[in-house]
Amino acid sequence: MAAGEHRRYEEELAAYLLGALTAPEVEQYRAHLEGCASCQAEERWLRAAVELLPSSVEQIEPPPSLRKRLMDTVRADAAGETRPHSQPSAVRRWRALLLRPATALATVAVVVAALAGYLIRGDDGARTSAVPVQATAAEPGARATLVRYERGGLLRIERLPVQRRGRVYQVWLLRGKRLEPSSLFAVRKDGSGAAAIPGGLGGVQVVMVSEEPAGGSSKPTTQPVLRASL
Amino acid sequence: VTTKDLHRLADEDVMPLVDRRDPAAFETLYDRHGGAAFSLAYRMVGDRAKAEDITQDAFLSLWRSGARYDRTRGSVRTWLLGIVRNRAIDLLRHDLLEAPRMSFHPEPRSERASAEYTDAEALRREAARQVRGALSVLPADQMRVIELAYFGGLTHSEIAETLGMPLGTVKGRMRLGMEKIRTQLAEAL
Repeated sequence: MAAGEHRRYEEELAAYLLGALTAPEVEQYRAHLEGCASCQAEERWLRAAVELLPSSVEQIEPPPSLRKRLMDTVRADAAGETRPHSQPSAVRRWRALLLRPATALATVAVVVAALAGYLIRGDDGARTSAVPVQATAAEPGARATLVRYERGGLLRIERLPVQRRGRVYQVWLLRGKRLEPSSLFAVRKDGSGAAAIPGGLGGVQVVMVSEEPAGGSSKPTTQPVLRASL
Repeated sequence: VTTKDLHRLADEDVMPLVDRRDPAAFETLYDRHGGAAFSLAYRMVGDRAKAEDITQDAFLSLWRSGARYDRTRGSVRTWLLGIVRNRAIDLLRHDLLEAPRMSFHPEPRSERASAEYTDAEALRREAARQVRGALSVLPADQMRVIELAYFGGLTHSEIAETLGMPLGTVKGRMRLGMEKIRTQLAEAL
């Protein structure tokens, strides 16, 4: 490599580490780094200083509500993933029936309608009911079920379009006149997914889902794609 | 793993537990780095609500995509703050917000680190104190380009345009400034 070209990369090292190169320049820089031991050593040396830059800013305590919101979501996620394994067999059978890919929409609609308000008392005494979920005009092909527990709910998504880049789906609870933000979730490539709704559904009249910017919103910014009346 | 055990573990050993969907492990990382993440986000976007959104998004990304963390490429803290920075830059570019002026404060807030974690925390605070010291004596023109790049999310070409100076000058000031900071750190630590 010509000395001049190498010097150019040396000169750009700080810009590279500070994130001030464009994407194509970053690619070029990485390609150079792979084959240049002297730049690698320099990069390791200087990186330590760049990594300390965030510590130089004034440290501000985040609001306790952020911690609570995050922990609610995380615990709900964890519960949503583990709870089905401990479901009573009756619930599992109903859910399997509900989640089976529908060959005839009418059949599923009848099953869901029959399940509405159906109460199951599990082995642990927990009361569980399946609630019908309706697709809205914004996403007529959407399909989901809501299982209501005494301490929350579990929204099982059977079919929803994969969220756009930088977006997530968000659950909303209409309680009285207040629309409360709830869990965030993403659907898999096949359009399936799950969202645990923590905190109980007492007083909630309607559960809705809309697509929102990553991180969620405090108020819905798009039309709901799913709606369930409790 | 008990909460006490978690407090003794290094971040890099807590991450596999987060991958296994352990909320307590996640909580440990949030308690250690939530303040730094929020502070960095606020420093970059200058708005508490947006800083909250960015911090929430970054931690949810850690929870849901923690498997992407590669310990051979750096610490969990650096990885997490990198996510925060990228999210903040996305927002800055989207909203065209003007980042507030960088300010340095003599002492960081008191963190509620667990007693078992104080050694690492003490080292980090000392390093933060040193980097603030190094930044405070940096010539203003060098600090300005570093500030615009790292906290403002601008590319070197954008900085050159913003400040009305040749690209080579911007690159040179970045390099000189960062080398000064690093040299001072090497001497101090």
